[in-house]
Amino acid sequence: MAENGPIGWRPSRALLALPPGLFVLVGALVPMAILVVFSLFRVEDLTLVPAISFDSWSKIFVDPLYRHLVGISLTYGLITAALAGLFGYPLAIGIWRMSNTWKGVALIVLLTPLYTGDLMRLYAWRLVLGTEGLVNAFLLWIGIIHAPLKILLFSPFAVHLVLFYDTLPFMVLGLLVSLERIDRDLIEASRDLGASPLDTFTRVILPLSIPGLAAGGFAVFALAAGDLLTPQLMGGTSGVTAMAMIDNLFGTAFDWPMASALAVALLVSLLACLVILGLAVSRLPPVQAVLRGGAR
Amino acid sequence: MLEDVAPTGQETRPVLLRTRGLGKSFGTSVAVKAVDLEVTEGTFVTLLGPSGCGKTTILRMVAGFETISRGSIELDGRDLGALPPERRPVNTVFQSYALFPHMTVHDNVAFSLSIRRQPKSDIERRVRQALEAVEMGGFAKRYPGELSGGQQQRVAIARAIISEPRLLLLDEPLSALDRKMREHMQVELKDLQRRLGITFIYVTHDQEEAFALSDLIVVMSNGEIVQQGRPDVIYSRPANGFVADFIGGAAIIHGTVTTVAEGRATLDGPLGAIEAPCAADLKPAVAAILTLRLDSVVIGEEAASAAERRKGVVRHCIYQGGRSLVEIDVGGVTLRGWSDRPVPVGGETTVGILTERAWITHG
Repeated sequence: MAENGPIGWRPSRALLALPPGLFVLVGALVPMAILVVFSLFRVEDLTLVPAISFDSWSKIFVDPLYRHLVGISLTYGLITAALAGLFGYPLAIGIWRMSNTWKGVALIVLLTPLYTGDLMRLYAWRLVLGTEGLVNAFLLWIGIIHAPLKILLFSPFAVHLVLFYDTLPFMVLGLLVSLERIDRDLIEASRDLGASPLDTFTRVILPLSIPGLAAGGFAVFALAAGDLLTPQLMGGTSGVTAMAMIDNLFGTAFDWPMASALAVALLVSLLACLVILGLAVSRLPPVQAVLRGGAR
Repeated sequence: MLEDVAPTGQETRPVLLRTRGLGKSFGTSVAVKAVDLEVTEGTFVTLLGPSGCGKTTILRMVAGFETISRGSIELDGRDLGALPPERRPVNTVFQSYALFPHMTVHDNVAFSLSIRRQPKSDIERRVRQALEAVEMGGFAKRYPGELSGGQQQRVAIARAIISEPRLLLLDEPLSALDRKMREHMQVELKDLQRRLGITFIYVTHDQEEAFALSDLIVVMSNGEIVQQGRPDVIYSRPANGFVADFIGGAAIIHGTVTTVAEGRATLDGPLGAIEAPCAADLKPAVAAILTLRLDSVVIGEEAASAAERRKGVVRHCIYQGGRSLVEIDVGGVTLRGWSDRPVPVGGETTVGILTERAWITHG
């Protein structure tokens, strides 16, 4: 055992992971490298000119528009992650406590939205939230409002709502993985030692589910901050995010260097946010215990 | 038999826990039928039985982790039925230890006190005492994942006793430990129970562990109590074939009771007629068993003075240092007993049955 390293570890197993590992690495690094190279090019008379120019990068840092756009993207990401955590947590707890049969049903229901296409879902939301949509019709019918609410669609509200709805399954799945790993004996032990159900939640369940909350949160943050269609189709004027700008620059504006620079800037900002959040989470005692191998 | 049930010298102590007709069903399957159990204060009681006999379910109902389907549980004369686990003066040591992985040893042990918002200085003092009681004083800052199984078990015990429960429930707490550590922990558990004076209810399927620890053993099978009594009574006076077989080491000889008189019966079976002490409610002309422990079978010269003697052939002889365990075939019946010196395998020998140590009971 001492000669073969940790139990079950053999060099051949590491080799098995090599092809997909390489695929992931190359698939991530090559496009990134291309983006970086493009960001240094110049556009003259609507043609791409290879050069080493910092025009695009200087605009990123000087023009407040780009900072603002990246800020909007990150804000959408953070708010969506917070919403998904807040509402996903009780949902995850509810599913966690179901019997195995109902758990299966609940998971299928939870994942159903993911089976439908992005566009389909977004146009369906329009039917629900539009001025002649279901919500307005219902509110008019019961008499709470007398004119259709305009804020429901083409507003930050609509973007947040849909981003939250779309990313909720990822948060719940992340949490469920963490919750399922909690030994039920720990919950009984907590009650046995005098903790009420609420105390048991705050002192045992919540701390032990922080890794899942973090994993779900990171996934939701990245998905929401990097989403293009939702802000564009649901946000109206508020839907102009860094992603929308990148799309625009690559497409109609034909400014690939600027688009590349903005894409790289957005990516770096996202990673920076994740690293800062990750460091903050890893300082929490329960996570420390996990990192130190203290958790079973 | 009733006089055998109460552990000696404890008749004056009050009853701490009493169950009446306690039962539990999961859907259509009945885990516990109707258990009447009395646990005297300060005693070490063991629920002993094979897996699935309902012993753990009883423990979980006492702790409050399972609802009661039928009957009642009283502690100090107070009905526990409606109380959630956190309001019962009962603590549990889990088979899995169930230490909180995200808390240090100190915080694990302090858990019940900090939940009750005890003063900090009080908590520190009592945590130190509890950890010292289980010889884990130097480990307060460690995390459970950094401890061995035996050390985790000690912490689990410290955590369970720190609030001075009226009753400590232990669910196969030593089963995950290796043999050496298990034997060591048995001695410590017994010692701890005597020092603290806390009543222990201990669940195990290991009869040796039950004998080593208990004041009272409750043998269970299929959700029912089969027999309860002092370890020596369970050992030498098994209530029926199940107990005799489960406790192990006894030869069980089936036969028919011919006569019963003054606590003795004659059983007619493959060994011929043998008279021995018998269960109080045994009737003539029914099928019954004769149980012969290792110490009621003698071989060689010693056999000459035994009340009953039979001829047999030596099948095995296992030298165990100082004495030998001998297996003899007597007309198709296998008997086991001790011999002072090794005897030749395949040779004929005389087997003596010390009938005063034998026991006739229900099959």
